[in-house]
Amino acid sequence: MTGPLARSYRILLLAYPRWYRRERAPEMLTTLLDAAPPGVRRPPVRDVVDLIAGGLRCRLRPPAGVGYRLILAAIALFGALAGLSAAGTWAVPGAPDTDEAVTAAGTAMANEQPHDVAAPTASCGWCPDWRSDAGAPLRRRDFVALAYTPRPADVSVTVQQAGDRLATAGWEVGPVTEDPDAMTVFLTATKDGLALSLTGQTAPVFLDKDLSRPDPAQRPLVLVVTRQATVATAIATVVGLLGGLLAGWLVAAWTLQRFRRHHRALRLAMVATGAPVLLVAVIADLLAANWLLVLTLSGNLSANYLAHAAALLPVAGPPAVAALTTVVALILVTVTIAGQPGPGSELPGPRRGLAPPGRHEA
Amino acid sequence: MHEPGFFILTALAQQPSHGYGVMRAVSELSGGRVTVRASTLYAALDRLAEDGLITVDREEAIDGRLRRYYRLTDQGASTLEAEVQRLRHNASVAADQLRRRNAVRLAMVGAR
Repeated sequence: MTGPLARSYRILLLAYPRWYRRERAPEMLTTLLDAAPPGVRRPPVRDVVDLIAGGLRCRLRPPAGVGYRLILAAIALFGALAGLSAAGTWAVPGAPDTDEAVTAAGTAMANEQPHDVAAPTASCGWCPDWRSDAGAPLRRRDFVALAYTPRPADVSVTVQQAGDRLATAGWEVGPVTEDPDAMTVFLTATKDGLALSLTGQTAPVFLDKDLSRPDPAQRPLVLVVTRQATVATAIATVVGLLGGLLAGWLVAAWTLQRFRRHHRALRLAMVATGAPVLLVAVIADLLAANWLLVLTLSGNLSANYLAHAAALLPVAGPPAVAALTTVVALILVTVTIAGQPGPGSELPGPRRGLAPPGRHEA
Repeated sequence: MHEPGFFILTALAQQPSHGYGVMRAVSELSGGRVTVRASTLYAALDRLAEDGLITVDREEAIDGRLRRYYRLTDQGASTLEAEVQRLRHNASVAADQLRRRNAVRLAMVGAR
């Protein structure tokens, strides 16, 4: 079994995982060489594609059974989220300079002085450590927010006027939109990579239940300036998402296949180390699904918003460290006995309780 | 049961065979319609073995080439049998309906 054709086929068979090759490679090589027309020196393209596809399928396929497939899905999705957040962290444009933001705000609000310029703050409703309360540690800075005290006039008019001023200054301004459920009126505008949104509250808060004295300071006009996501951000996000999905899928399939082939003691060890990882993954998946649902329902699915939110996904701190530790432990356990197939081996072969076949040397 | 699997079982029904033998038999038995290439063949063999329909009969090494021969198990034979019955039934039901359609058409033509 020498010769250039056999060599080429042997290289192609590397697409298959090692445990599969150990069982199957000699036999497959024979079949491939048997099927090749005489005198051919290179494998036909169809074989090349087939073998690579077959090898990938073998690596990516979880063991049969609904449970295995669910675990694979959870881990693959977690990988996608990790990839997405890594890409977002790397590619997100970050917060604008405070000066840039104040200038933009000044254009919109003319002579108004903001009564509060919040230092760049993080926005992440379900991240445990991230609060925008004064005194709480801030880990990410993604936007600059300015708050104004609206005059008792109609808030919609104020917002509209701001929009007009921005348009005059060369901003691309969207229409003034009213959200009756949230009782807000807002507009968004973009220019030179900056995105600005102005939100006013239409429901007044009254002092002392005295219906003639609304207190505008209770419902400030909020102006938020962010940097717009660029094409690079969008591409990085997609690449991160797909790359993470593939990586998660491969790791999960590899681990589950190993699990299937280990004997009972190692299987128990794998369950013990794997369960926390799976738990973290499932929780992250559910949180992400919830977040996506909220985004979709609120209609906030702009690329900018997604990119910023994706960058906020990594929940740093104790849970991540714990998950990482268990992942390392899991890896150690899965590779402990390098590829010795146990009784769970699914390939037909002498180990399957047949009468031992004789090897006939002709 | 999908076609390649059906023909692989059929190919092994009479006597055990090895990888290339099965490939050739599948092509011949299906009249050239169904061909399996090596990677698809072994994926199918894995699946069939997992389901207990085939098993390894023996191994032979000739001139350094390893050939593994597969044979149909009893369960495989009865599964193939059941599939044959199913296809036969389907075919006769369809043939029946077609006969009636033709009969109706003949009647309509005759009536004009």
